[in-house]
Amino acid sequence: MRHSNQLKSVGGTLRGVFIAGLLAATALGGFAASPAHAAVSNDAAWRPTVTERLVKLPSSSLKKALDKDFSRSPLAEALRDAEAEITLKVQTLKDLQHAIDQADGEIKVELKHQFLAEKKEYLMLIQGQHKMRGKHLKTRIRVYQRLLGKLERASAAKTPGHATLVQRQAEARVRLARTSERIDTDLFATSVTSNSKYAREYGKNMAAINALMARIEIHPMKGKLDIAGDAKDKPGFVRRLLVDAEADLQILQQENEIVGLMAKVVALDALGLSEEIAEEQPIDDDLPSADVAAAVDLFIN
Amino acid sequence: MKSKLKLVPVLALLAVPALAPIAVAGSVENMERERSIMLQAMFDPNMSQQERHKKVDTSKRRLVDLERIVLRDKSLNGRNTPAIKRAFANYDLTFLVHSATEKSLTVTDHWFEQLNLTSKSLMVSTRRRR
Repeated sequence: MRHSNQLKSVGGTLRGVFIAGLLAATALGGFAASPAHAAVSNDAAWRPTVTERLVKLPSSSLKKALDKDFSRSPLAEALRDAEAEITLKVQTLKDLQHAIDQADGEIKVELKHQFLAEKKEYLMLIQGQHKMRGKHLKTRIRVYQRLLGKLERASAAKTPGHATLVQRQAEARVRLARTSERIDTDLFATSVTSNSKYAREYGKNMAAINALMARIEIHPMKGKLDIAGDAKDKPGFVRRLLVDAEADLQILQQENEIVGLMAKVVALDALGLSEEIAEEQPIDDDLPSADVAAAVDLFIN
Repeated sequence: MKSKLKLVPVLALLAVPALAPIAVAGSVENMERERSIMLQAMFDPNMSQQERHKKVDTSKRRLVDLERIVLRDKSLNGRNTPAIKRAFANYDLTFLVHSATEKSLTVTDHWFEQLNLTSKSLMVSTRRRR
């Protein structure tokens, strides 16, 4: 009888888990959070500002500066806490799964119930963490967009005259590099005088510069400093960071869908367990019915 | 010791701008001055042929260096002053010696060609009263 009562109470709680699971599964699709988690997410924020200093920073330091700023923010702190909580919850789930395998009877049902409740808790934690990660990525995207806007405005501020001058200077240098050797041969080959002092010193210094440049190119630390990779100019580098952040956000949305599906599985498991408990309870099929024939004598005499 | 080691890269980075190329003030002006001296020598009617040749040759050698100094001067990058703008507006006229040698012409011929003063155009010209 006690067993039956306990099973009834577990069955009732499981229905609660099932309903909560279904609610969570529906809510997760829309990135909603429970009031407790929402409060944590709303409090923890990261509010970076796109300062002139940030705009002027070299590409290699730009991401590092942003990462450093983020790691000191309350949002990063909350994310670290959530991560630690999730790790603990995963450990609890593993322990419970192990215990279920070894238990049987009433304890097994109780453990299964606890396992489902812990799974629900885990999903709520993941949901909260996803919300914070989304907040972080959206802020990062906004920062990169503002940074890119500032960089593009700075380059657009150059007048067409200035742009033409820069282009002409570049063309003139290319033309000199292409023809200087031939000009030297034409001008000095037939002459009794050799190259000028300037030309000799320049050549000597250029040889030294080229040797140093070659040394820098093969230096093992150079690769570590050059984080820009294929994006050599600053707007290009920021655009690459922006694409990376957008991709991370897309992946997060996909992970969110996975969590939604996990919540559905929890809800169905809860329903299954509820059915299982209900089947174990003895159902009295013989409904009491009054035997009218037996009472006939009472009416005859 | 640890903090000193941490400072090494910072100090090294700080030293980089100090080692940046020093801007040569007035490289364009120096080149323009030498160019005008050469053009003056080229068209001075009071100069003998030999004297002219000697002067132009000296100026030419100086101009080779001066033109290269201007072309390699990184401080001129994007400096939108009228003198610099004018200097880079026409490579063939500004960097006279380089352009003439590139086209295998004498500096005088190259100068006339750039100003569209050909033998033909001079022959068809007529003397008129203003």
